[in-house]
Amino acid sequence: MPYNPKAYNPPEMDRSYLYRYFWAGAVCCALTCANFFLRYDGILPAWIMGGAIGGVLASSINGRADDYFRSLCAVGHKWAMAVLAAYLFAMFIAQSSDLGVSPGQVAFAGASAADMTAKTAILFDGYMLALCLSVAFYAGYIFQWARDHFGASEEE
Amino acid sequence: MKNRLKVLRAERDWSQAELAGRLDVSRQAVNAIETGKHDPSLPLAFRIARLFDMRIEEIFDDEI
Repeated sequence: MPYNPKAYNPPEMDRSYLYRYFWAGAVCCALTCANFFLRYDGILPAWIMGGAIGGVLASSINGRADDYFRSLCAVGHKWAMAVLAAYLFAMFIAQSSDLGVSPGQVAFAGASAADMTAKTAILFDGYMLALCLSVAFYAGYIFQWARDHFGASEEE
Repeated sequence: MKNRLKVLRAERDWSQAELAGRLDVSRQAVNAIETGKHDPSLPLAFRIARLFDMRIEEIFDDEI
């Protein structure tokens, strides 16, 4: 029998759990951001970071997601893409103005990483970029959720 | 988009979770559609219409 990816039809409760996973992920993301500055070292921050991935992962897997969850995630994805575009634009300015050296250039063209100033080096921090993207995703989702719940109703 | 989903559900004495289970969506999605915060996709609109044995335009109204 061929594999049918739509054969499993999750019950309503499983679909509702996705929304809870998201909120757990949002809390973990906020804690991970806080730890970015606090620099607490241990296994707990690692597990919390894992939790932050949960919401992002849930948004990219269609299996149990319904229309509404996908529409909320779409706003989060748009926000994340906007942040990515802003980041790439900053990179474009930095590179076209010869202000920074990318890690790729350092690895393959022999450019010196020491040429980077602290201000330009921050542009090439991959972990920070990933964290910013996930924050933007969660913020976009929460923005849309809040607008749906606390914004003006069509019945008004 | 306005719709009669809440009325139709109440007529059948279904909870939001029960209706969500019949439509293969979450309770949150049913709530968002009922309050007009979210417009369902075309496949979901067809599922809703089939469930209530009505036409889509009898449930959803995009002119108001």
